[in-house]
Amino acid sequence: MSEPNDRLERAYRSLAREEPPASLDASILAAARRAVARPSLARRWGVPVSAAAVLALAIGVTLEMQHERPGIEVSAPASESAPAPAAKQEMAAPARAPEAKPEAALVAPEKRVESRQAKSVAATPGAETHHEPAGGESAPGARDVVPEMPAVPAARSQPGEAPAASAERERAPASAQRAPASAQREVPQTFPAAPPASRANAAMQAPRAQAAPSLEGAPAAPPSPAAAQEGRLAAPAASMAKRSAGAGADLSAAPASPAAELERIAKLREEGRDVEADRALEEFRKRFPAYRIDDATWRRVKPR
Amino acid sequence: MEPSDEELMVSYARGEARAFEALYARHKGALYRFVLRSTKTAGEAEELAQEIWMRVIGARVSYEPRAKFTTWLFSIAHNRLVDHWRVRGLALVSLDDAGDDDDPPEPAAGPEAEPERALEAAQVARKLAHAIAALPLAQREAFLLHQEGGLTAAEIARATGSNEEAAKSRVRYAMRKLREAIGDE
Repeated sequence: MSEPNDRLERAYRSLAREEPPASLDASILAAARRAVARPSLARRWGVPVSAAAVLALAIGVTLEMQHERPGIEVSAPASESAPAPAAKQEMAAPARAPEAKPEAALVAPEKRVESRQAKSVAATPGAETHHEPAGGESAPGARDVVPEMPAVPAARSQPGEAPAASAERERAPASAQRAPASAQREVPQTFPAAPPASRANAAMQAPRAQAAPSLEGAPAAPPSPAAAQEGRLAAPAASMAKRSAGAGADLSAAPASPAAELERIAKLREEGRDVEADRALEEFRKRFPAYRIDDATWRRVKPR
Repeated sequence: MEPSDEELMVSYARGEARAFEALYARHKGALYRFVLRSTKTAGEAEELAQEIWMRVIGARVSYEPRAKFTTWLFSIAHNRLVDHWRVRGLALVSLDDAGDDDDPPEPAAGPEAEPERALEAAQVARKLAHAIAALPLAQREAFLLHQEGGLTAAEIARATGSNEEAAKSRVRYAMRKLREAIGDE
């Protein structure tokens, strides 16, 4: 091969020494730079910083709310504890329960006022120190019912709670154990207004509940309507996750060797999926630029 | 001391755009001419050259300096050209045996047509260009890889997926025809 070819060599060197046009140089070099360009500081840290800010804000708001009104962080218990009087009625007359519930819903604010008055007598001053007067929200109301229905908010009883309330709780252990269940079961029918609240709450809590249910401390997690709703809400997410996992599996299952990949492309051609095959062939060339496709295989994979 | 092509490519794979610039400056002309003389039209050559370089860029992460960079580069170019020819219904087949074939080389200039040196050189160059274009694909490719890429027979074999003997004979056939074409026998 290296036999002397002086004249031929010279003649070849005398041919025009064409160079690619400057525009081609520019576009190739720009593509090369883009390929290894690092994202700017703002683009690199934008997402983590935003996520951290949102998280910090959420924690801050939650802590603030807990500090100001313990128990408000979970609105589902409001819909659970509010029907407690209805649950009490249910125990007495289960058949009449459905009728009693709307009534209970309607009288709930009055009861709150009454119970506040009752508490001023029965509870120690410490029990009310954190309470705000009017409220109008369901959560404080639910907490106000504590002396009457200690079973429901038992999990949230305050350190300074009245001994009378504790005594009453002890006096009615059966209702204490049953009330949450019935309350949880009946919430949607008892308080028509409650489900949206608990749904919204569930929607907000869904990711947290899935991630760390034990941290939540919410009494109604699995069996409550909120949880049921949560389950319904979580279902699409789960199926999406499943789908994406499936897609990931598909990707990871993609043949790694060039021969297997070509075989896959040939199958796509056989099935008439030419667009996919074209795309796969293009991708193949990117992944294995130096791989030589033999003629027989080429005939099976070539663009049609 | 200048970094080797392989070192530059590895540096580029690590994210140094300047390494690619140096690499590109070294090989852009050779690759472009290789493609241009294989395809004949500047438009096609530019398009193909761009695609080849894009493949180099795309494959930077998987690049391993097991062979010379130029062998790798021209093997990518070879594959792209093969695809190009295949799409046009051409194929790299039985080219080694097609040595004495089809296009008879133009007769060499006789002594009676003795021009001035510059004119003669221009004529020789034109004849050579014509003869290169008339070479069978595999021979032309092997010749161009040897001339432009500076590849040895073994490297040509590696870049084109053939064996060393075949590569060697392709280059030899090509040179014989070209010598005949320019009257250098």
